[in-house]
Amino acid sequence: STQIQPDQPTAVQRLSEPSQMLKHAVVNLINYQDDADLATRAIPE
Amino acid sequence: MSSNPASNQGYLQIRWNPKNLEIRTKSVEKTLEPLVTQVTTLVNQNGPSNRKKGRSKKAHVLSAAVKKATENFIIQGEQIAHEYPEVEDDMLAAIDEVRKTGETMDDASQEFAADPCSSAKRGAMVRAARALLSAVTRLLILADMVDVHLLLKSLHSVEGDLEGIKNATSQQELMDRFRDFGESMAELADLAARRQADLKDPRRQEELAAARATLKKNSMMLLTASKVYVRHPELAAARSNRDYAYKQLCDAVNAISDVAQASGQSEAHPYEGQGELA
Repeated sequence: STQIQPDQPTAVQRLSEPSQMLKHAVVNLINYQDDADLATRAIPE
Repeated sequence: MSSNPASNQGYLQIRWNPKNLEIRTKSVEKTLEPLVTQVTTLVNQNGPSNRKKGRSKKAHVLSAAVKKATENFIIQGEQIAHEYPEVEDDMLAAIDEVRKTGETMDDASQEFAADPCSSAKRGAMVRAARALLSAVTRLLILADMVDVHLLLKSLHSVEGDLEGIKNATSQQELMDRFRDFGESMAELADLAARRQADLKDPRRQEELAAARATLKKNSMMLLTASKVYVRHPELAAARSNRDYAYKQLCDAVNAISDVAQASGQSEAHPYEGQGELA
């Protein structure tokens, strides 16, 4: 149905949470190197 | 949609180009802005690394989380696409792009997870992430176009009801048409108010507010003038009053349609400039 109810979320609102989750997952992964680098520094050879 | 208007299904067309990634609403901007900033920042940090090579189980977990989040996003996008046949093809094409870039990101992230200190692998993964997030951006903008499409459908319904009111020949028919008009107006008022609150451009927000005020002010005027006209169709003044209210409402509907589909920068109103002394 193309009808919209006043309390029904818009298409953008429905995609907002999954896209935020994806963003956080990507950023966590990309920032991961920082954790690896920290471990390298914390345990000297 | 506007990518090929001639082949559009349905009676409404949106003038936007889905390839253009212009963000018109606060909702999309709010979702995407930090996302774009963060990825750009990370790309700029990219440089040669002399760090010791390492392996980690945690990086694989994070990589799997990205894959899962991409799948969830695609599922939600497909649900929306199937609900709106008019935009299904465009939505599915954008979802396909998310899927492809997601697969590239998955490959790159697994290579990175196996060697998280490799600057080259991290760089490749960041490039894949940018492509993935661009595809996500496109899908969010298409979702915004879906919202506009619903607003335009509601406008079309109001236009039809207005025509019915104009053509009513008895008091009973007039009241029936006006009841329909009231229902479609309530839906339009809700959608237009939400759109107004979400628009980034303040001039367009004001245009939408003005059009909504015109709708509100003239709706009851149209009922009263139409009742008089139906009772006394021989009076020129009665017809003139009815036509005035009808035209005001049609102009407001057109104004909402124009604002909903507007793209690019809005132009300043002549009264916005500085005044000059004579």
